[in-house]
Amino acid sequence: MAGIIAIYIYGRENSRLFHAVNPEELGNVCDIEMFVFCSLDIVDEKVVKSNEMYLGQLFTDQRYKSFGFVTNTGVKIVLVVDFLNSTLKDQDVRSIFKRFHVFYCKTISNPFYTIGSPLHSRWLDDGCKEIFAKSE
Amino acid sequence: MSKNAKQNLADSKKMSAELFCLTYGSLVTELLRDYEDPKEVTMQLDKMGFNMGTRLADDFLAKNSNVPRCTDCRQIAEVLCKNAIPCYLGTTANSSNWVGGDREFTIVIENNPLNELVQVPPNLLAAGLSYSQVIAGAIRGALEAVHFKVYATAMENGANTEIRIRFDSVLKDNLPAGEDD
Amino acid sequence: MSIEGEKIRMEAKEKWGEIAEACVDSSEVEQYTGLIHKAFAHANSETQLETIGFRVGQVLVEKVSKDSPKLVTELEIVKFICKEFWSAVFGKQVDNLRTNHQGVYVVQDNKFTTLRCFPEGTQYVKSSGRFLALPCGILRGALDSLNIPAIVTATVESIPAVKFQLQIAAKA
Repeated sequence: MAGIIAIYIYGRENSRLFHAVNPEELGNVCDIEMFVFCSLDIVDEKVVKSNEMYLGQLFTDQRYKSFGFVTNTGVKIVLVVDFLNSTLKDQDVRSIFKRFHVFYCKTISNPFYTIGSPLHSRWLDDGCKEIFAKSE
Repeated sequence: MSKNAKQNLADSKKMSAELFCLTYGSLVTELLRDYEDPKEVTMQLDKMGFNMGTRLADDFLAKNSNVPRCTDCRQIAEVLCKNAIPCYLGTTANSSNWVGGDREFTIVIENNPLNELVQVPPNLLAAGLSYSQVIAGAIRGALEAVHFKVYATAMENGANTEIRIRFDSVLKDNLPAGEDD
Repeated sequence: MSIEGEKIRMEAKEKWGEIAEACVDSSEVEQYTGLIHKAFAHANSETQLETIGFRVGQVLVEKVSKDSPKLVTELEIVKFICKEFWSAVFGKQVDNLRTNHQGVYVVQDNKFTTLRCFPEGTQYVKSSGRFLALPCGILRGALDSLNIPAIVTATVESIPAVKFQLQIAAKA
């Protein structure tokens, strides 16, 4: 999938649980993180008005655009995409969120994982490899 | 309507498996908090498994009355791999690594549901935690219920769970199984 | 785990049992936090089972709620627990749900799965209690993950019917 910049997962109290940045964008990590923080604010606003987990597009600054997703347990996922990207459709974004929600479920099923602490699992790693692959 | 019912049954069986595995995992971490020494926890899991195994033997024989009485390890391994493990863990197993004149062998379980989503921290592994020891204990308990005394240890080898079984003796005395420790 | 400690714990637990029956308002529950701690925050098999259940509930609710619509109100969440979550985890939906609309819910399951193989009737009611510690923990964990901190207790009058009390903590 072209143009996926980063994916961030936050817990209910806004603690960062997971983040992955496209290897081609590692030079812009600071900007990306600022962008994600702004996006999180929008998540908090949108979540109250939304009646589904997928929040749609959150924010854009002419370089990036972000999409949001909140689970019933308050876990937030933010997907950062290249602003110029036009191939990524709404259903593709929904599908990415759904897959990462499943990865999250699998990761917390590890009894040695403490809920609320940083997430590490092969599903998340493989999922990230997949969405960052095939960048033009 | 019956299609829905069948789906519900399949889902509920799947959820029961998930519930069991999550409860087992939570139990292991709780035991680690209690006992602190991973080797001690392994022993407790083995004990639990043994007690379960002695009861499972009756259940298994009741459900599989066509299984012949075993007279050697090869037959035991066959029954374990083809009947018992699929019945209770829902997955297949194979035997391998036969040594000592067929008295010692390994049961290889490929898709062990217990540790499917588990990542044991390496330091606990190094300190002697065997996450799947309950399976080894259950096999030991079940075999003792049918008068075979064996030693069984579980270990993880890559993606597989291996239960190393060593045959000790046939129990001639009719001591009720389950009188352990 | 001294004998005296056990005695204090049993007394606190009995006292709490009486109070819980009479409690109508969730704000009343908070006066008794000390008593609850005395009764439950002690490492015996029931509290350990409850703790084990809590973790299981936290994870299970994520999986079960993954495919359900967005849950907003407290009532929606409790209904979800009584229907979808109960079906997924305990094999059927609950039979009755009552609430005083002030944070106390009473959930009735007339054929609760954990007790389904126990001899029916009142003979083993007292000893069946410890088997309900795990399900209570599962429910408490599930509610907690859905941002509803609660105390979950269970009473059995006649096996296999179980009544669960959910006492939602008042939001600060």
